[in-house]
Amino acid sequence: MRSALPYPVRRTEPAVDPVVSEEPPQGPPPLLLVGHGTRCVPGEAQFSGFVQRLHTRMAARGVDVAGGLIELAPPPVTDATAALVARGHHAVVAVPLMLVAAGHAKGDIPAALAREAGRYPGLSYGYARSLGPDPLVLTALLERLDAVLDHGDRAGAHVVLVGRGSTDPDANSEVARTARLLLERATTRGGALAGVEPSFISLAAPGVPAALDRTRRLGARTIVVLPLFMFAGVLPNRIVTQARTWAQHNPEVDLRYAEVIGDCDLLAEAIEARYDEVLAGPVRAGCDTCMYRIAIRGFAHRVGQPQTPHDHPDDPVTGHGHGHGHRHGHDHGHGRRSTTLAAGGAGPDGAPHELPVLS
Amino acid sequence: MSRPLRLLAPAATDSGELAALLTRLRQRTNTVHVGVDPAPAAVHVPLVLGGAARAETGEDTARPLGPHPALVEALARLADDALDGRGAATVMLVGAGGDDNAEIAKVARLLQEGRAFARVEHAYLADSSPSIPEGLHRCQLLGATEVVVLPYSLLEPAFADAPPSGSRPPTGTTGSS
Repeated sequence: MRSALPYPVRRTEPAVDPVVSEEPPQGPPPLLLVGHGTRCVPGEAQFSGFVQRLHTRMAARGVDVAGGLIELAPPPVTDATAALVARGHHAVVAVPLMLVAAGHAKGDIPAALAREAGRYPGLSYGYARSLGPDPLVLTALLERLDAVLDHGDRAGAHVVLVGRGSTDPDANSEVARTARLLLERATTRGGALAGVEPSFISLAAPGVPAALDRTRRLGARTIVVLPLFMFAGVLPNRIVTQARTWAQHNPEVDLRYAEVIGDCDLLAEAIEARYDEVLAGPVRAGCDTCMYRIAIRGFAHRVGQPQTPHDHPDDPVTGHGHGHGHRHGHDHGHGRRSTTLAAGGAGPDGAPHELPVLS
Repeated sequence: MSRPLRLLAPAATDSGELAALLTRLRQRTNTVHVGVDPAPAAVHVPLVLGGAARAETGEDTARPLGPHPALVEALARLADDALDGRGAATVMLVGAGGDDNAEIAKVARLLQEGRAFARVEHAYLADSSPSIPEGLHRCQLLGATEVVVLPYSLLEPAFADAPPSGSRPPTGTTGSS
């Protein structure tokens, strides 16, 4: 199900340009949740519901919450930031809503945050790690699996875990790592599976049909297609479409379809833990195989490459979007300039580097 | 300010291999002192790929060496050498098995990225599935006609009992990819 383009404009802009308050900061810094964005209406609803869930959860600790998206759908990161600045915050803890760190978590989002810091003098931000194969994420994936497969049937069933896929070797290898971790976690939580095979919906092999073929050759009679995706969207839909087509040609296989992780408490708990890591002090990213930090075969030119924000319809990198009355209209030179941020920067080969910290 | 570099070698490390590595390190720099015992003020580099040593990483102790891209490249060259130009074979990376199994899956995928191997599978020497015979059986089911068994190991002789590189599946092969 897709919303019709162009999207209805649902932005709520502050009446005046907010500026960073001169009052001393009070209470803990707010959580800025930064997601991807989707053209899928249920996916948009899951994101806004998840932001509300975190808002409720964190209110008990006196932590303010806002959520912004880097592309495809409102609200853009800049609106979420503006709202936090308008509410008197000096510093934000940005947590990327990403299951695997690739171009978005390593480049686009840090660049978008650098741009916001440039727009609001006096604003500082800390940046959290991506979720990765966090145990809470693995637990959530097993819950989605349980919804379509009884524990008693696990021993005879294979899972095809379908990730986003990337040109970034590190990101694809993290999906492979996640598949193995899921296999091992299943063994101690409900029973061993026959196997978990990684797959990718685009940009990397094996794709869904190829992974299903491969799993069938390994002897599978029951296969659960499990998306490594947070919310509903165009790509999760594509997984199901491709799997159904494959099923038509392989009727002897019992093929089942698990849901995306969705708006749930396990995910909220994982995000809260990432927020707490930033509060606790320098967060070290795992950079051993990050192409922006260390030369990887075929990607040596990426080391230290400046990063730019992703283009958002409500906050374009170049020129105007729907932008009349845009609050940055007074500052087009700034708005047009690509904000650059050396994701790699200087540093020893692949050494874990400290992510931006609160100042 | 340079601090002495101390390699922390597992007890079972082959002494000849270790001596060769020390010689090679000393050729790279004459400002770094190389030894095998912990010492005050030294930066300790454990000669291990991963596993429990990851938890020991700290101010004076470097993290384990895997999966540094240079090591992945070295693994790929070992596989290439075993294949002698026959590029599209299957590689089976074999880890020790234990508490770092997912890392083997990650390294296997890194080994596949951007290279011509037909596929890179993985298996474990002990305590984990797939074992080496199970892994080879998987390769066979997937259509492999030639498999390079590639130990994920630095210098320690943990794989003395493993099959030599370039071995073929244990039984007749069928199909192709």
